[in-house]
Amino acid sequence: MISWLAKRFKAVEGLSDYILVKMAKRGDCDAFGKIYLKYLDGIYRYIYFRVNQNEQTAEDLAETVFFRAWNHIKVFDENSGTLKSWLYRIAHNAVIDHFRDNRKQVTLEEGLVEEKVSLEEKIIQNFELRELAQAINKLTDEQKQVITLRFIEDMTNDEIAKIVNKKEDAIRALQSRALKKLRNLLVK
Amino acid sequence: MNNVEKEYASLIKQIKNLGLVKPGDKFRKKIMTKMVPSLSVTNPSFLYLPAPSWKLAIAAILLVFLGGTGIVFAAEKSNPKDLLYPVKIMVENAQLSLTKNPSVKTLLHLDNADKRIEELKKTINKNGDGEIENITSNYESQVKGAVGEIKKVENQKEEVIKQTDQHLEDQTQKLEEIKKSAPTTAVPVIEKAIETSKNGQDELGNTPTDEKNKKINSPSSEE
Repeated sequence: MISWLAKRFKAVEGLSDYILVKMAKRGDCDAFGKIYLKYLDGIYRYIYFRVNQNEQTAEDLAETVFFRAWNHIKVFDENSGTLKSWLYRIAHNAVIDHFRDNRKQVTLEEGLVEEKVSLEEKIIQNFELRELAQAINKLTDEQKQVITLRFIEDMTNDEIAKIVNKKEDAIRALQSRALKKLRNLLVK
Repeated sequence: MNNVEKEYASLIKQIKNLGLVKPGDKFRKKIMTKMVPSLSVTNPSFLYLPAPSWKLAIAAILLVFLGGTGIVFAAEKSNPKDLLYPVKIMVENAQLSLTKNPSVKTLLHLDNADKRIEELKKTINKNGDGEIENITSNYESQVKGAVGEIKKVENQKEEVIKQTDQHLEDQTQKLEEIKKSAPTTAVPVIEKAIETSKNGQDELGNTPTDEKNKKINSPSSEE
């Protein structure tokens, strides 16, 4: 029943995106704004966990993603995939560009030690989740991607495969290795 | 399900809690002003459905499953009497029921209680007497919810109690401030909310922690 409902809602979501894309392609800023509001949190999270949980970098890159999306929305082909996959693909490329341009990576501690105020930040400071966040940071970049997209953003292996340009089997293997590594890191 | 599978299931549940990580409001507003100046966050028209009640009902179901959409953001900013206010409350409840970790649940309850205080302040400034009782009553259930969850916390219980106690102390002070400018008819319900907050703090003081137990068992170990 739940999976049936989830499929129906995905269909409604797809329809809503389809209309928004059509409008945004005609230059409707309001429609693009709604796309932005809908996907900002997910895109930010995806980037955040890939860039060693550095808030500033995640914000800068999330901004880049939406600017790139706005500039290229006219060439987005709805038949080649969903809007969601397209946006995450842009985010994926933005992170790769960032790592290429900045070989020096910011450490986890730099991202977490600052004074925090928001609920989300308090949650990260929560002992158990902080440990988990630190463990995620020790995964490889590919493992981080899969864990974030699969379990935090609730994507299917098929969707993830399209975003990271790998086969579904490879995604499953990455997911399994990542979970195993996380479990070992948390047990230690 | 064997033990390893249980461990993985529990790990996945914990990972899902990280979905609460979001960009800060400051950044969100900055981008919104820069990128979409024409955007009105109070207009949830993207559902393109005929009647407002249908919009609300379907949006409600969508929120539980999809979360993080534009309407969530719009609802987050709503106040009692706004069309989207029930969605805001529903999102809060859905978030609580989907969260299993008791310390995260405690934080969510406290955050919701903070929101009620903000709403109370705005309602009093707008002379909206009618909503005050509903807001304070929701505040009270959030405080009770937070204190109730703490009893289930297993790790770092003392730290969670300390944070919650500080939070409740701040909330009590804010309520005392609000009471000063509240209409006389609203004072008894605000006082009741203050009482609940203080009772919550008292209850926290009586909550056993691992650390307390350790001290009882080995009083000189840390000396």
